[in-house]
Amino acid sequence: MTQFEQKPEHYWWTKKNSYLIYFIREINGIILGLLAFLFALFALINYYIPTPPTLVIYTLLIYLLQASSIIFTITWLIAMPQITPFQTPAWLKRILAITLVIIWITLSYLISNYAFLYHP
Amino acid sequence: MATGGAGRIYGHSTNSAINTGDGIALSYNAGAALKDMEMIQFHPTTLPNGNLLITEAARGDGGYLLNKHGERFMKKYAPERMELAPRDLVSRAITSEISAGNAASGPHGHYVNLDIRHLGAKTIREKLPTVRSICLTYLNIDPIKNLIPVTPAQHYFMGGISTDLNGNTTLKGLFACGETACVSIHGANRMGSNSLAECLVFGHSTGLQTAKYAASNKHTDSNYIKSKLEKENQKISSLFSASSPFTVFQIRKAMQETMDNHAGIIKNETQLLKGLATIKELQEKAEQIRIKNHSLVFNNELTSLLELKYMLIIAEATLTSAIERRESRGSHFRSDYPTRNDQQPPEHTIINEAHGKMAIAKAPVKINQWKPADRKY
Amino acid sequence: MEIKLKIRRYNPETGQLIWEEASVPFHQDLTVMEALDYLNDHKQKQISFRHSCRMGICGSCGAVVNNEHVLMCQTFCRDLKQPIVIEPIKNFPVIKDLVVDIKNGMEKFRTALPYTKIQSNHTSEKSGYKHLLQSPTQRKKIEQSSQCIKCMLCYSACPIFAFNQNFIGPAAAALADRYNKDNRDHLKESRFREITKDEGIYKCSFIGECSKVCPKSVDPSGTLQKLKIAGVFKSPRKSIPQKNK
Repeated sequence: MTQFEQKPEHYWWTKKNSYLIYFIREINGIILGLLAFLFALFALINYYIPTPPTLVIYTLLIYLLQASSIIFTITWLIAMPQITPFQTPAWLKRILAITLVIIWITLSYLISNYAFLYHP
Repeated sequence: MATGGAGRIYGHSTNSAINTGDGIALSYNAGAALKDMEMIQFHPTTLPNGNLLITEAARGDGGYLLNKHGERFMKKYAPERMELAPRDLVSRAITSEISAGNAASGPHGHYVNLDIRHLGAKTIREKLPTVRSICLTYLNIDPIKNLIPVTPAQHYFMGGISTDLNGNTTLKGLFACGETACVSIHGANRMGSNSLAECLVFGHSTGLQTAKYAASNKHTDSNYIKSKLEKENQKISSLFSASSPFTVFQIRKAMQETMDNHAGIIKNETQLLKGLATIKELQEKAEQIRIKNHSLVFNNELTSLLELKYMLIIAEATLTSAIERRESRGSHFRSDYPTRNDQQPPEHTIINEAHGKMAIAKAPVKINQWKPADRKY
Repeated sequence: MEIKLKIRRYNPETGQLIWEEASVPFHQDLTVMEALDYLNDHKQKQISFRHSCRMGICGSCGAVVNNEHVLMCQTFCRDLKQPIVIEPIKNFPVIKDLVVDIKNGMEKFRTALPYTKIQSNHTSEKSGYKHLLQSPTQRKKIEQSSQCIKCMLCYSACPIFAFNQNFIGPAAAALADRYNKDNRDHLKESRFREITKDEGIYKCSFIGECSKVCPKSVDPSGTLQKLKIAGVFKSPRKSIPQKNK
């Protein structure tokens, strides 16, 4: 009598929404690190040998890095309300996540606008 | 043996699907004595669909039982204790209300209402969370705002394999404890939560006794065991065949209906005798059932057939003991003998296997501290 | 009216894995467990599955119904899209049809040291049994994590356990937390030493699916993250950690 071993498939993360969000969160972390490294590399290259192609890639990297960090922040802010010290129902978790994202956006706007007032 | 009770012989029971009394029937077949099989406790508050249990704590914390006219009918049956009267009294009260036409009727039968709204949302959420979640899941009602429909159903077997305080049965080397056993610490009526205490206390003591016995005895001849196993294997193989005159479901349903109608909360001699005759017929029919699927891995058809045969033995034992006890005592109530026989000292009903039939004997009840008194509530 | 079911069946003797389609007469209160019982009783389908209490308290009837991990006795067919697809729970070997072998998951509970020893110098006449008492406030602390019914749905939903069968898992970690927070317990040090080993709580990746599927709202996911933090302070490592085989 053989038992049937159930092995997970390679595409297990497409099966459910929460698996997909987790996968995006983790993959995005790796991508973020990679992009940050490339950004630093191209910043260095552009400082010493600025050429049109490297400038284009540098600009592209800025946008990609921005997108990646936004995704990183949002996916981790969504994960935060799951470890409150008190019991929270699912709808409250969603509201907390949205509140955190709104706070982050507001703070980012204020800092990006008024922090440069002190830039010499 | 610690295989639990046999509530599944009834169609309306709070018991799990696996409570088929296998241990009791196996021990009877092997020659152990059964005790007080007629003592069956019916719980008054179960949901009409599926007979899921609504705990007694709902009444203990102050719930009211109302009939369809909205009155607390327990006033007529137990004016002092009201809803906190013993379970058998409340079950009989609800049954009387149903026969008198004072109970509402729904898709799953007649029911009365349990009202816990006056306890307040805080108490219900803190002290009765399971009641609330069962009502929300299975009935889509919130007991904070609605009434809970309840009806009585079979709940517990006070009887079982006869044991002494150490768990020894009448068969040497066989021990039993829990709902399967009848030390008789519950007598004819079990108090709430005492079955849990029984499992803790007697599980511990019987376990230790069994271990001591096993450690102090030599091994049995393994050839003897092998030959017995061969016989069992042959018995099971003989059950496999392509065609069968009946299905397990048909016989089981007939047995459950018989027990519900003939051995319910209120019993009488004619109904019990009719029930016994039907059960004996069903036993013969069950002998003819055959299984098509030959598998020996998780063959649930085979296990249901074996369980059906065990359940029929227990049904027969219950009915036989109930006929013999011509009085009403505790949860065993007979409409033809409605009073307790106080002329003679109380006795246990013992059942043994003799030449393929059930032989009944009586044994005196050991009364230590609490003597039977008048049941006035 | 009839509803359609699609059940994944496995025959251990032939090794065949098939999808069985069947239909069951519908009524408002029909649960998935009752539908399977109907198929066995009236249509002789002989589908093997575990079920016992019928009210969501024993944890036997776990299954994946329409890609959701549920207890079959609590899932009503009126809420499900047809055809209702029923599969056994994942990450455990299938014995037959919907029955799986959960031995691997149950063994993980040993790592959580789910017991406590009564210290012998406390049972004197003077102290009585004070060290065994627990007030309602203290009971409330372990209320949530003691609700676990060992249904193994969280192990089935956890992708870490899917790829690594040595991972301690959500239910075992919640059980460890239940004993840690118990005021009568004093095995905290040894317990933290056990669960912070290599295949212990630090393998958790905070996916959060276990808390979503738990039928008793035990929240193993949140508990694991808090255990991770507490584990850092509670068990200082003095040597290179040994691999937990």
